[in-house]
Amino acid sequence: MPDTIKISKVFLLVEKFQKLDRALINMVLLLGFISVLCLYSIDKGQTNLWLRHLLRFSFAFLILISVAFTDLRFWFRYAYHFYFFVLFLLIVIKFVGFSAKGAARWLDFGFFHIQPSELAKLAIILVLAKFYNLVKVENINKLFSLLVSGILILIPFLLVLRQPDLGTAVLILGAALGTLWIVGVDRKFFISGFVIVIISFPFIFATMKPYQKQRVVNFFNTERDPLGANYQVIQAKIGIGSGGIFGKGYLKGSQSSLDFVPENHTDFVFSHFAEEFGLVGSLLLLWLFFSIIKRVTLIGDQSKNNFSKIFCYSFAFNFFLYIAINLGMVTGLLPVVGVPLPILSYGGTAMLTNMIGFGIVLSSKLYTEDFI
Amino acid sequence: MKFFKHRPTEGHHTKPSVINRRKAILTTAKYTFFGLIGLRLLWLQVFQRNKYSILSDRNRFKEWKIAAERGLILDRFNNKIAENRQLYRIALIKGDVTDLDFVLVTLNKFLRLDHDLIEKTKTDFIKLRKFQPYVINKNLSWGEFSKINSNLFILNGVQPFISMERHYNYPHQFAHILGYVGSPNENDLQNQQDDLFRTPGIKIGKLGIEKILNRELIGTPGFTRFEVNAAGRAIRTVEFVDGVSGKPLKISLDLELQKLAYEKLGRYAASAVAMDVKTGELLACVSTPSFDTNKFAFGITQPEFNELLKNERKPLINKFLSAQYSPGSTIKPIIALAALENKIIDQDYTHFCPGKIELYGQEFYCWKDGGHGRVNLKDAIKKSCDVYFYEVARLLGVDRMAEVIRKFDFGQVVLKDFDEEKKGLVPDTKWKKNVLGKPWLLGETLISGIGQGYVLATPIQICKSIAQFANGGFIVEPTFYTDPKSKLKRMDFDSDNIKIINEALIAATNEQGGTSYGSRLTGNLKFCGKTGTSQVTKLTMKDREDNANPNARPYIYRDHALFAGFAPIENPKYAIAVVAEHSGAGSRVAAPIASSMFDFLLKKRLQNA
Repeated sequence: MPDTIKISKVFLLVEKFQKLDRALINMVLLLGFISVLCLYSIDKGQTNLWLRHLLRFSFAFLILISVAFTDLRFWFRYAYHFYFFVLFLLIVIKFVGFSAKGAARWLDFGFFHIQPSELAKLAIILVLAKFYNLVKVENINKLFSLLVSGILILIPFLLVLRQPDLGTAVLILGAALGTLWIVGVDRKFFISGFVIVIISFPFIFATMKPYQKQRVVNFFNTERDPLGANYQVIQAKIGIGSGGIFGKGYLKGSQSSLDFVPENHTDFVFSHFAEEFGLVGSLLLLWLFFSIIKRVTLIGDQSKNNFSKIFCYSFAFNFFLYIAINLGMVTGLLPVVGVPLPILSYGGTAMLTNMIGFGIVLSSKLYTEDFI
Repeated sequence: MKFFKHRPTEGHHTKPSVINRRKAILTTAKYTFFGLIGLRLLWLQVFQRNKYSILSDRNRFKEWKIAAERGLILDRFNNKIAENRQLYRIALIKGDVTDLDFVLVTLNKFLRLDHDLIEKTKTDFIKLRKFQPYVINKNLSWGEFSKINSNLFILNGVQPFISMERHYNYPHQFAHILGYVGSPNENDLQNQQDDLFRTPGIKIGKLGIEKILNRELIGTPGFTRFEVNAAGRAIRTVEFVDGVSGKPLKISLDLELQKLAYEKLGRYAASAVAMDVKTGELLACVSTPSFDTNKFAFGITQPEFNELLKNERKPLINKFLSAQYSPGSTIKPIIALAALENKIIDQDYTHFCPGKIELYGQEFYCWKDGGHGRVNLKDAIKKSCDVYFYEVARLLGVDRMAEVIRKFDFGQVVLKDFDEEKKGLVPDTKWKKNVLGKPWLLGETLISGIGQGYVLATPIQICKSIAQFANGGFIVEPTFYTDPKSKLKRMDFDSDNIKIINEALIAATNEQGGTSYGSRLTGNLKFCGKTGTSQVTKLTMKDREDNANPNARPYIYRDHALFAGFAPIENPKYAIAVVAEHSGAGSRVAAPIASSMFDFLLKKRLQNA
């Protein structure tokens, strides 16, 4: 009875659609809409930047939906494969990747550039979620599990750090530490790890690239060298500060449209948003981001298996890290590391990673009844 | 496997609770950080809003200053001596010029730029910021200008424009007083507190009055305010404000007299100063040879400049202020006054002039072979008897002599605001001991008495001293500005003594046997004065024999000719000093020049007034 099967499949699809988490989808769509508006305003539509972003967002959204409809068990089953595939890409990129501003990060697939370091964030969460789903709760703080997870984290972290891409490396480490925290690794490890980092900071500093050193130095001395390395942050702060409470109005921001803020369409897009929409708009945007995080956490709460719980919480934390580091950097609270603002920033892979992440979150809601 | 659960469901009862607890802690951290960002935004967007708004506007708007028209310079009868002319010029805009070589080659076809200019343009152009205009240092004729205008479509980034530039109507005559203008160099920019000198295309005074009164002449630049992008490209004009041109400046000089003096000084390396004896207003200040200040305004070429530097007659030196000469016999009135004031002699004191005297085996000559015979004070000045003044100097001593000479402001600057002005030198025993480390010799006193030896004076100091005799012993401050508030202050000399000397000076020009009798004026208005012939080197016997032919010696060893006098002889108004370097006797060279200047002043200015 092929017809019945067909019909039942269609019914299943409709049912799945109805079961999708609308709130999360709506919020993601709203964010996408804001990002297109914002990118249009940066150059007043003189280039088709906004259009390209819209196409990428639509493409990524399709992927999100397809991932959402994929059975969660698929991600569980192939988590290790995915991890090793990403490792493979990270190694390949050493040889065939091409350089953006002195760092080999991109892999050219003709129509789409892929940044394997972005995918690594997702991979590390997936692989840790799967690993800790299997480890018994009483064995979590045993040496063996710590060692395994340590190795799982360090390989992609070091590979990305060597590219060199400090921002993404920090995010990978951050996301992984978030996962370790959630699964219940003893806090004494975190505390001692933190102490070790502080002590070894001089040595880390010594091995940094000159431009990275410069950023760290500049962070502690912001008014120094206003046309050099600090230029970005100073101009971004001017953009944000001059926005005031209600902003200069849509299409009226001068800082970004006159090219004073470099990278205004990528990492520093928030500066432009805050200039045009002011404190009110910025706080509403913050609220939107926060609601998305809360929604993802809620889906984790509702989920009945540990894999999806760990994934949802970790992904929420990863998403939070993006926002925190980006906004911290744009408002001058943190040193400049190349971290985009999720979805709002112009850029392919970062958006793709986040949309796949949202897809998996949606999928874990859809398949919440299923055992792993 | 013991370590791993064999079925996924196992251990669920504890694991979710651990996860939940940890998640709650993480959520708190997130709340905190979002709160922090919110507070940061509040701080930036509400409390620091003004600061950042100003910075944002400063980013957004750029002012392009436009140099104002420089103030005119007028002579005392309102004749324009420095004005501004429309010039046709072109600028290259960096960033709009796509191919500099092509543009220059094309411009060369229309304008015939010389090779150096092209190379200079190329090197300067690289240093510019984007969208900064670069003005090519060449004036275009109207024909060239219209040719460029009609070919603009092939000249990307070329901007023809009309500018007002300084023009000197009498570039040679006034060169040393007015100076000239030029683009500010690094030094000028560094010495400046504000950014006025950074106005594009501005010209600043580099020398003379143009430099001293630069601030008054330069006016206030106008500006155009543009909205610009980060690269500096103007997006649109927001505001346009006209500049205020510099105030017209009236100076005390008399154009006609200046031209006359310049013509009379002619080929000599010489200078002439004329002033009003009561107000101190300078009527003429000429230094020859001179140079073309209009050439300087646009940047003189290196070979031309080198030629000026190498010229042995030193055209670049402002001779009436910064050339120092032995005053020669022009100092005799002051020596005589010193002797009278110190009551060493009176006007009836006589001395016998045998033509030379001997002191410690050294011979001191009078200029006149065979001597003047017995002379009194009046004759000594009238005939400029050297032996009489050797004796007066001997009786007076150098220190009392120096004291009176200093009262006429020798040994210090007269005009004060000209950097190049020299002080001259008034020697005395203390000076020689301190500076040369040697004791003063009596022989040096003798030659000081006739204005030779160490004593040095500038022409303006000589003019000032004779003016102070002319006005009856009042201090007068020479000035280029017509400022009526100058007050006359008596010098502490007996006015009878001044009168005695003035009478002798009148005799020197207007009585037979006087040194400048040959240059006297015959009308009812007369002038008078003292000639001077100052030796540049010690004369040998052969030189004395050749005296009739001063050109026998090499140029740099020839005597300087000097004259200092005033007119009219009753109620004097004008004083003039003339110094002609290496030109011979004062009576033969300097006095006739002064005579023709006095003639002009008395006939054209005094009688017409």
